[in-house]
Amino acid sequence: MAENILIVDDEKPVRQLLEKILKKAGYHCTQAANAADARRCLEDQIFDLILSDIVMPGESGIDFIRYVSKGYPDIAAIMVTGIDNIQKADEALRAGVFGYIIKPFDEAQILISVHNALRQRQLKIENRQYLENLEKKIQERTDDLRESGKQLKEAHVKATRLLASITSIIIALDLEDKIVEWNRCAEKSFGLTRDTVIGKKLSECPIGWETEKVLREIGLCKTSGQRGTLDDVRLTQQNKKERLLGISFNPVLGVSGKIRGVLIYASDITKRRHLESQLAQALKLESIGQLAAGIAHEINTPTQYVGDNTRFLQEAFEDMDRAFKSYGQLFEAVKKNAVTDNIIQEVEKVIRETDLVYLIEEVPTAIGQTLEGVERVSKIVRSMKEFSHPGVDERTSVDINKALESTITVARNEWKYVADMKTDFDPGMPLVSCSPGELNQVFLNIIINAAHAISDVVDNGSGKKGIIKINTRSNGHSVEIRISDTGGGIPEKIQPRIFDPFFTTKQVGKGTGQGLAISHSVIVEKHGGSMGFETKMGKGTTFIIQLPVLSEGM
Amino acid sequence: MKKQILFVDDEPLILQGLKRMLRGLRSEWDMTFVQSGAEALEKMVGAPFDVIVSDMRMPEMDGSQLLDTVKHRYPNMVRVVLSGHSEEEMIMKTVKSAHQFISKPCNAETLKSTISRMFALREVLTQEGLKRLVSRIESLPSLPSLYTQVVELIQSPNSSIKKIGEVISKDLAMTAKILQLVNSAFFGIPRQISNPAQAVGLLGLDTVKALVLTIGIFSKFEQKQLAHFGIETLWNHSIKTGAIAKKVADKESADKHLSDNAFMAGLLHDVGKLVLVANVPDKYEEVIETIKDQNITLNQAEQLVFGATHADVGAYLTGLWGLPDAIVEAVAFHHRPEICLSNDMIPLTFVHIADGLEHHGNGTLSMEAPILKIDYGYLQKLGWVEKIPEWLKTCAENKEEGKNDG
Repeated sequence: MAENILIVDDEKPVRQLLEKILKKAGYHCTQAANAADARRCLEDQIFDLILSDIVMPGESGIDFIRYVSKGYPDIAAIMVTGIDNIQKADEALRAGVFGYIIKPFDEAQILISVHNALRQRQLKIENRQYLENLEKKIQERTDDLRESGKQLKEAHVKATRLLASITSIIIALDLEDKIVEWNRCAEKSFGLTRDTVIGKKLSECPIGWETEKVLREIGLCKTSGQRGTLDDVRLTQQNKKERLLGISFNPVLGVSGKIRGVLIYASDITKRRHLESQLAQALKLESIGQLAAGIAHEINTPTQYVGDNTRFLQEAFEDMDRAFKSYGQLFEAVKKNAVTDNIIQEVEKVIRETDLVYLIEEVPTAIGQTLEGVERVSKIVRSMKEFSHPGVDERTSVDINKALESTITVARNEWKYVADMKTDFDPGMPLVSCSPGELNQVFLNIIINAAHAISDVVDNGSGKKGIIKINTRSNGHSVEIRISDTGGGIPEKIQPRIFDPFFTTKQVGKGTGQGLAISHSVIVEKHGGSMGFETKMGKGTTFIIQLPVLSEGM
Repeated sequence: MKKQILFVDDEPLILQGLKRMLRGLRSEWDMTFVQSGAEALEKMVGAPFDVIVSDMRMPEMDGSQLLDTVKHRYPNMVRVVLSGHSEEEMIMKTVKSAHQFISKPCNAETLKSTISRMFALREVLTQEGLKRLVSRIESLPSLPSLYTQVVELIQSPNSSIKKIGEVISKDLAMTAKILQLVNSAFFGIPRQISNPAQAVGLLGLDTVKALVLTIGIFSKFEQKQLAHFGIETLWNHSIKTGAIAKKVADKESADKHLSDNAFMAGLLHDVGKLVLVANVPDKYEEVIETIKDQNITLNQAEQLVFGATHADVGAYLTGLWGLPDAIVEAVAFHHRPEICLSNDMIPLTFVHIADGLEHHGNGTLSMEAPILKIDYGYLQKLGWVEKIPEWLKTCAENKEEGKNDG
């Protein structure tokens, strides 16, 4: 499209000459005789360029151009004037004109100046647009930055709050073991504020824990790049309180996958450990309590017949004494050769009344049963001692057969009404290194479960007693204990769950659901053995325990 | 005829021990020993026993199942548990089917005296039908309002043993039952207790709760009101007699135990009437009609209709339930105290006096008022006759207090 040019000159011939030249070159032109005329033209049309005289009646060309450059900055201007004056030219250039042509002019001069002015104008416009664009972009960027700054700040606040609210200790280290993060829990637990430790090496901080162990683990974590854990790390706090920490060491990886540091995450497990030990104690007490009533009964029974028999012996002795005395009289009479019918009748009467024949037959049995009763009581008491085994955590060499024997005895009252006990013990069982108290608990759990399983069947059906069978076998390296019942078996759908903690099929209040779970952990985790079962619905269940003869950790 | 006793225990050594220990009584007792419930039931067919003494836990059929069966088949057989078990659950099961509970190990005297007492009781009540009736009783009906009150108290979170004991001691049925439980060795406290609050305390609130709410040892009177016999009158008379017996006992400086016993014996002295009214109401109406028709005493009328008096029935029940001897004695002989003439102060004396005073002092014409009077001959022998006016005054004070309470 042709550029639109406004020609302002008070001399008409100059205007027409200019228009002629420009039209020939393909520009579109409008003429104005003075500045006021030109201002009106500006309001009607859009111009690209103004060619203006300086000296005109009314407003001067320079003032007009000043007006234009303010109101229409995109219009280029060229002065066409008769004044050959450097000062004027300078003034015009300063008012924003792109060219200054002195009259008389030739055609080429005009066209070159016009072309040049239009190009410059074009550049100026583009430049301005570019700048405007740039500014916009910068603004956008700035806004973006501000926004992300805000988000970052928020995230930071959140992260700080999170770190502060975490009730575990969090410490971040760089590769030189210098502390870069230290949360509030760390401050509290170690009694060291963040400001005092940031930038310091962990080994330089006065922390009352097992420093060597911790540093070794940090080193391992850095070299291997693997997560590491330490359990039960003792921490002596500044108030002298002992705590137990569970610590994990996590490698912090950079973008490249290289290790940049270690994140230490530690939690106070004192309370948990305390509860665990309480639970263990409670379970032990529970099983003792469970047995107490039964054991009392087991002791009451022999006590009853020992008492009865002793009472009988007392009376029997009185009768025998009477008979003895009567025989004595007879003996005296025989010595004196004065036996009378009376004396013989008296003896006969005494023998009859005291039932002497019966007594002579019965007294030895009564003594035998009394002794047996006393033996039964002492066996129960001995078994109780063996069963409860003070010092449950101590590992000793245990005769598994004997341990089973005493467990069977103390639990007798739990099974004897529903089942007969059959044992088949391998006489060549080696001693097994284990903690007898815990092992007895396991045996007790399984025996009681067996009794309950049988009792369910007995109650629902035949009323006949079932059988609990306990076998032991050894192959030299390990021993195997099999405890089977003739109960109803374990339904397939609950089989995978029976070792789960808190899983129970018993009524609420009847079992904690911990028995088999703890048994399993005692056998597998503490003794490195195995525990499994075979079961057949309607036939019964066999629990199989295998223990290595030399347990781990010995 | 020798008494027939059946012992059941799954432990043969126990049976042999018992057999030897009780050998001294072989001339009086015929003892049979069996090892299982099934065997016991078999032995009973055709050959009845007077008393069965059974172990609690036995394989296949346990003691409570056995005694339950016995209760239904042979209701007048006296049922005693001899058990070494102390689990509450087990004991709860026998509370209703056993008359008495002896715990193992027990000494020879306890066993002998418990069984001997049962036999002595059987002499008190000779009428077989009544014996059967009383032996079958698990619980006596309580006054509905008192029963409801106890049940509410037991369920309330802030009830106290004392409060519960207080309400129980207003009700003869509940008192009799709670004394049975606490005096027998059911809960391992075989002591002569004659104070319901103490009994509840010894049993423990939880046990009492279970007994009342789950086992149902108490029940409430649901019989239709009898035309000529007011249940409330019986309660009223019982409570007042108990209170007067205690007042008189205190006045005569009886010790706390005797005074408690006097109260309980007074409360329970007519428990036989409750047994009869609750179980054979029509026949009891007959008794009352007979009194009017033939113008005879209550005792005579009861003898005519039942062949026994309410005192006999009450004594049999309280004896069967193992209540303290002094209470059984007072219940049995409250009309004829001279049978147990003794120089010691005994609850019987106070119950007899209180019963007489209560009827006398009762302005409304109670059924027995014109019939039963104090046995002056008996009091003469005790040298207490001149004390009567003094007691009447006490009795009147008691009435005043009663009014103020109301």
